Amino acid sequence: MAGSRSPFTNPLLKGFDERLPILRAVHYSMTQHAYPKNLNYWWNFGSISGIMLLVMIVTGLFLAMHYKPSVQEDTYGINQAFRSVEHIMRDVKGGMFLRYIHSVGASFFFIAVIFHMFRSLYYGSYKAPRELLWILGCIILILMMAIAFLGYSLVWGVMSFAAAEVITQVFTAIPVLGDDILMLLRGGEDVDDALLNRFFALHFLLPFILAGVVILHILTLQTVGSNNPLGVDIKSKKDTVSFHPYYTFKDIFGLSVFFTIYLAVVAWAPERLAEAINNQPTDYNLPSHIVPEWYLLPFYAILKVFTWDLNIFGLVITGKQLGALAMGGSLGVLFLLPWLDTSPVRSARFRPLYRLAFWGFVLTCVILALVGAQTSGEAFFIPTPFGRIPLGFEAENGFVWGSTQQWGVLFMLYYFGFFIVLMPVLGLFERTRTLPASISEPVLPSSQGAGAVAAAVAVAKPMAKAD
Amino acid sequence: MRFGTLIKTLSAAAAFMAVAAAPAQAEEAGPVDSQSWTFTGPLGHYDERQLQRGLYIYQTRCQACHSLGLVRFSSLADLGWELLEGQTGEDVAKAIASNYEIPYINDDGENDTRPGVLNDTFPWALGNPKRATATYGKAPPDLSTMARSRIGGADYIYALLTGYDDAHEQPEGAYYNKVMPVIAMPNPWPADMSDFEYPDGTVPTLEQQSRDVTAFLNWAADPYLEARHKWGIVVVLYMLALTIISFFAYRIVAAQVHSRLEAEGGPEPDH
Repeated sequence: MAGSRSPFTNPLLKGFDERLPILRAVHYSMTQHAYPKNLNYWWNFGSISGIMLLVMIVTGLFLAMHYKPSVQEDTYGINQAFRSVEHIMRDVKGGMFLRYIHSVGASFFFIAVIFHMFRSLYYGSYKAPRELLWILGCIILILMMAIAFLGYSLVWGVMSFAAAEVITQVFTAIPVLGDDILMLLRGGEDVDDALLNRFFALHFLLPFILAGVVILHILTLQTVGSNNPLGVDIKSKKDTVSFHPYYTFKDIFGLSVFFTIYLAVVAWAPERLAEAINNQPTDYNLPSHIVPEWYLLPFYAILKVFTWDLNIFGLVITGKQLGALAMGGSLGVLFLLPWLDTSPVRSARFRPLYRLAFWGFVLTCVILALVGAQTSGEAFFIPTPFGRIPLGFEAENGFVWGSTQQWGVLFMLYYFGFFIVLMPVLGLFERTRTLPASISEPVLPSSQGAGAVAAAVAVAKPMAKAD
Repeated sequence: MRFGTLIKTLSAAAAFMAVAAAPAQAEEAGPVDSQSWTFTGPLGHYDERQLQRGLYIYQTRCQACHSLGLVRFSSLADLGWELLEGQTGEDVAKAIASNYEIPYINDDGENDTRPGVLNDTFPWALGNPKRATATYGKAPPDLSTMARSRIGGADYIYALLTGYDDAHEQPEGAYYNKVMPVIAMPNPWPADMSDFEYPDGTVPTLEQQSRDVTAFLNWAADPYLEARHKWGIVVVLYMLALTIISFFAYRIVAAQVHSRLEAEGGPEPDH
């Protein structure tokens, strides 16, 4: 910290801070750190995500006090885990609110993080010097997906069992070690009591590891600084404001809007985003149509579109292995993004072609989510509130044109193509628009075209920082 | 991307997810028409008389095969009973509970039954899943969460209860229903219901009975719906007020910061 003297005058605060200087660390980061003054509302989702993590940990702690990870069935055929969740909803004071704030909260946590990540993608926030910030964010996303899956299993309903069965099976695609990993995850051959207990232990542990990564994410942010909608570096103190009070108040407003929607869903549609069938205790039969929670659908689509085996000169890679590889790759490629993007210009505002590619990528994620939700091998359709728009049909010979698989493969190719082909190629050939000289002077006179190129090159250079 | 765009995007995303989260239904099944219920909408609440009639239908037509293993008798106390002098809702619930035989192991270690108490849940006449499976081939499911565990919820249950057609030819042990063409559950409605009447004199058409028992099952699955809706009104009004206040607070702070930025050229960065 730059300030070595305690900023506090209250003797108690001052005395504490002089012995353990964490208060001044918070004080300086809120009042002295320079943030770009032009951050728009899309920058709210970072702090919203942080608050959602807190909400999840606090509600989760109280839920854990009443939850019983046991598959033992009573005379009604209802297992103890499922019964304890219903016990929380029916018998525990305020338990229904606690449970729905937690289960709906998982969806809204993902909504916040998804907006946060798409914002990063649109404004090029992952580029130098923020590569590590982005990578920590990707680790957070993967941890969240793992935690959400584990938590979904704890209900031990029909779809909980299916999810645990199918997702642990994915690991058997790994050659040689697959079966051992399966045993390790399940604690035995079957999806049973041992699995439920270790899932509960992991569902309790991982959020704290996630919180640790979030702290690293924030520390990295404070070191490299925030990106901004123009994507140009801070040039002078005229370009900056301190976090408090400007962004604290902006974040409180954004948080209020977000929580109004979130809590309205808790009150009137707490199970609209969940699978209804999971409100029935599992009978250990797989349902005919297995779907994960909505936020995992695009990745599930990539997992299940491979229905054929690949034979490379006698080396057979099964469809299951291809699906597992592609799903792993779809997350892994995010880590390489800072180096795949070759453009020195960060913000999509100045990159017309990249902007198109970006919205294509958003559409791709939506289509893949629909593919993930629909039955394999059937004609693909777009659901709307007014009915289905079919995008496929079954031919007379029984072949389905425009099946979920075919659309899935097409958009999976765009998903990977966006990162592996468009990112490097666009950066080399795209004609970007003239960059402003600084945040405070957004419009550059057209006569200074040469200066714009210099500014664009300067963007690629890490911000010079004393600390 | 301004604030208006953000709100539009958020609401479009919410609308999309609401549609996308509803997976395709089984192909041959008939449509589930949406019905009007007292418990839908922002101020949706249960009609207590309807729940009482629904309980009666459940006792008459459902509980020979099904159970409500998560519903305690004590929760019946709040069903708005017409009370006699000095009587409480809890007394009514106690009286209902005592009509049920609850299996337990007595002091001699023998299987025995005792009258139900408030803390008990609706018992299962078939006893346990094994006996139920042995009797019917497939155990009739517990109905405690049924209204929450089907897409369409109450609308689905109503469509199923009114969807039987005994004229349809079916293989042995299966029945025809519009929403589930091959169903193991037999038609709960006898061909002749002329001697059946409600205690409160409501005309017991098949639709009326289906509607009442569906409302009861929705209550069984989601007993604190009214509390949640009332909570929602308070919380959302509070959040809207907070949103408006925080918006103007932000605008005031923003104006101050902007004028200071213009006057001083911004706060001193610490590096």
